[in-house]
Amino acid sequence: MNTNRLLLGLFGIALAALFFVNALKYPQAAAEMPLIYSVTVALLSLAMVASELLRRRPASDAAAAPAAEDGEPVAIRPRYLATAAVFALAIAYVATINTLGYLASTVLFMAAALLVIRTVSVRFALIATVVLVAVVCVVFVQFLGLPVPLLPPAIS
Amino acid sequence: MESSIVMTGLTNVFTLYNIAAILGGTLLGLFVGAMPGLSATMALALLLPLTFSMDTATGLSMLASLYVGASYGGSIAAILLRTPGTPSAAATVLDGFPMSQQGQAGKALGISLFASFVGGLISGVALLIAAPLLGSLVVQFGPIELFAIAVLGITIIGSLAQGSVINGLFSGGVGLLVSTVGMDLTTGTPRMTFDNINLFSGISFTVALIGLFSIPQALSLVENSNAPAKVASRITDRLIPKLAELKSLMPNILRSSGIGIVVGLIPGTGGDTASWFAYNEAKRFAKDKSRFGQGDPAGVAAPESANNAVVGGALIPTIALGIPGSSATAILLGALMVQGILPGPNLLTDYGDVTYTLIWAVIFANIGLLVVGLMFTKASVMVTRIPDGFIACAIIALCIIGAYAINNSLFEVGLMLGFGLFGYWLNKAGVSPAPMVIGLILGPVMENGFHQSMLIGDGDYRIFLSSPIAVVLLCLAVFSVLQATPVFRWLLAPFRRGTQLA
Amino acid sequence: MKTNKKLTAAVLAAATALSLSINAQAEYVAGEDVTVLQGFKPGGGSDVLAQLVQPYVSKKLGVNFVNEYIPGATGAIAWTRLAKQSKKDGSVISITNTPMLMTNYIMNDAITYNIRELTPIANVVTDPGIAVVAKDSPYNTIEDLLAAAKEKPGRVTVGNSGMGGDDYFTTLLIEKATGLSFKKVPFQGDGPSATAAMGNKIDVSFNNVGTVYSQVQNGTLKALAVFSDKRIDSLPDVPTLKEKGIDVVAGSSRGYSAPAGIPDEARDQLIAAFEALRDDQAFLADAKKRALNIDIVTGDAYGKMFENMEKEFQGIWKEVGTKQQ
Repeated sequence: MNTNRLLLGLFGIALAALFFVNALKYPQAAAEMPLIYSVTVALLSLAMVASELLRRRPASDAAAAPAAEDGEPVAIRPRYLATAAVFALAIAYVATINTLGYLASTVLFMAAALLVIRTVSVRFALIATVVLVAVVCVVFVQFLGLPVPLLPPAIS
Repeated sequence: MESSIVMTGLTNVFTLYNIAAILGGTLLGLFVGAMPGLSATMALALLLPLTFSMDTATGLSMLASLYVGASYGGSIAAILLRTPGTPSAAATVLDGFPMSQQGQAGKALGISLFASFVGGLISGVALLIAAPLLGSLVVQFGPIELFAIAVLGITIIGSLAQGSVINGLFSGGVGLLVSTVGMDLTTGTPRMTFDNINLFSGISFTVALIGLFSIPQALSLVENSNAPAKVASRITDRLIPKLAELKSLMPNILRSSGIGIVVGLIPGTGGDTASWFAYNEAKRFAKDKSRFGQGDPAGVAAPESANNAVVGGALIPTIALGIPGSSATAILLGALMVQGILPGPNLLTDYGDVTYTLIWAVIFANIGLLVVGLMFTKASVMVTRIPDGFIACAIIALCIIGAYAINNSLFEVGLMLGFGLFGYWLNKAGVSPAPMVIGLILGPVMENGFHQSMLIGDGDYRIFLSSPIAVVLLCLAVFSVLQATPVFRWLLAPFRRGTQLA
Repeated sequence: MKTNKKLTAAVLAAATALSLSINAQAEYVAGEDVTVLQGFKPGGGSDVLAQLVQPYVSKKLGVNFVNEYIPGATGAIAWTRLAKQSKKDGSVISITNTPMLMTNYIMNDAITYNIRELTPIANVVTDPGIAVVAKDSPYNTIEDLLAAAKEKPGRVTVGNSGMGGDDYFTTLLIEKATGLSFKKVPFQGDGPSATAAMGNKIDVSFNNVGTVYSQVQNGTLKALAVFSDKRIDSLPDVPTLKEKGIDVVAGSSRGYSAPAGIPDEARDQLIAAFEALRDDQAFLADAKKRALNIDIVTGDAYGKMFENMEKEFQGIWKEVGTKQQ
């Protein structure tokens, strides 16, 4: 059974309920579509949950699929922790753009993320990051004038 | 059409300065298009102020070439990295990436380039020859017709569902639901904004698309970084497709170009919508529908020729009537207005030299695309040699700056990451995000069209039957829905049995 | 030797005084760079104004303008940032569009800025409202339209640029002045509203002269009336509503404002620069070429304009706004 799908269905019901309850407060013209859509999503989510519960499969973890399909005898463990770490780093990156300046936060993000992932050689990581940041800065900030603070406001 | 102005435009285009602008614009467009997270509209908006210092014709040519280049460039990321470089390449991912996984990345890229070239060229020629004629078609599309188009587009959601129909409809439904966030058109009521003014204008679908397609791919790469590098993603086959293959794809390409021109023509719909319509039609007319989504070249050729054909198509109403056919052409229109050129039917007469230079620039940009595109694609092949781990981080970094560049809003970057997380979840649940994007794009078109039509028709539903165009489109929509259900097979069954016996 | 020293001193003093005076003429007290916050997308109406005005003003003020586009919530995001989060030294200004500036917060409690948190600098253009119909429309004069509205109240469809936009409020003003009622059909901006009128999908579009000027010139649209005080030079055959006995003057205006509390010197310098535009022939000719109607109102007069508009729209919104369609 795909737990993710089940949870998604439940989330869908919750989301639909949220939209529905809010839509009741709007004047008629503004409420029509959200009401229709939320009822539709709620029904479809129910169908999803139902189809998932009715599908009684042995508990083979669907997430190990990629490696298993290759026919590899060794099961490749998906790196969930690393994935979560990288996503958290992305959030931190966005939070610090304004305080640390774009250059610093990008470099820090790339360094930290690549450290977590660990499959990239340090030399390559260094050169490639510099190239990436340089290209973005030249094309977008310099040439096209994107208003992003490059240096921390404290310095500039 | 005065042939002298047409010729003046042609000779204008051939100045060294202009050719350089065209090639430069195409290259920049390819680059922006190929980068996940960066879109053509955003690059056009950023490039616009720079063109003010240039001569009008040159500036316009550069902007148009950027549009052309980006329309193809998006497919490079779609095919190689499984993330669309631009919103109009989202459909290309469905068959492009499986092709590259089967070792046919070069073939996919070659077909995409060629299809883009043909689509763009046909629309450029249509623009040149028939702009005023086709332009007058545009005003026939009012709220009623737009509603019908949106309904037709939404029926595509059902047919996109590969596998579970419930999943596809769920995804589409969530997209439609989320599209209602923001201030509603008819009453101005802020819906689901929780008093946050950043949500008043609704959720930009580009932000959602970047989040739903690109972030999950980056996260998957991190998740699977323990696995050995896949050799299949290296390009081992030739880029330039065989003539026989191209010939067999031509009907598809021609039809998709037509779809692209028409969708581009209609104000309010652009490359993103056209590519899905074309993909859907290619699937409908395919002999073996099951190959779609598994790596069918037709599934790459269709959206790519459509999204490039949109460039010329969207320029038709822009030039003929001063009405932008898509969001990117709205920026081109702004470029004209800022130079003091008032858009309107007089563009072809009073400002003929600038206008025809622009039209020829579009045609030559497509030719330039073939040349520059080939070299750029060969260079971008090297991307496959970069370790997955770095690609993942680079995609995230680009998505963040790209989402920021759309409206200079950090809130939208946060929103993009939120969609990214949701897209990752959808992935794990086996639900495709494609229908959700369609719902997001077409939801507002449908709702606004509906409310406007009801106001015009004074609350009478029969208003939808008053327009022949709308009736045809709505019938097509009903037909589409039925075709996907067993009803159709049940109706045709007696006929099939008949032919079998005969 | 003493004379030499005295001479040198005198020359030095003169040179310093001269250079100081030259600098003082061209130096803006808040620095070399001025950020202009724009609440709408590049290439739109505000941008058109910026591209016209800024080259001239930057010369007079001796500054470099940097445009920052922050679209969203019909300008509210940019104006909130101007009023609440910008430096108050005169280095950040914004293009303020009316009536959007006021109607944003009149219609929506979640929007927290208001005109008292701004320093009005100068209005530059006013785009009068105009009523346009399709070229093959049955209505040939504004009287035809009003007669139709009288015959079938609430059935004549009038397109506008969206809820809370200038055309919406214009429609309300006209309804109030004539006692008639129209069916208001909102569109996403002046452009789509004009297109719908072109295709005869709606009976009439209340639009702005700048948007539909070229269409009226070559006949794709018929102009029934302009909503200005006097007839417009570029459209001399189109009557005004005032002529027809309807006292409505409406349109949309664009100008510049700064946050409240900027130093008086900065404010005076900015106002002076815009005042100088009044007599700048090159500027006026440029504006004419782009069919922009110049209406320069500076400083306190612009502030009064804001207050009058706020009162007018607050009144109308209270009367009509709360009952939705």
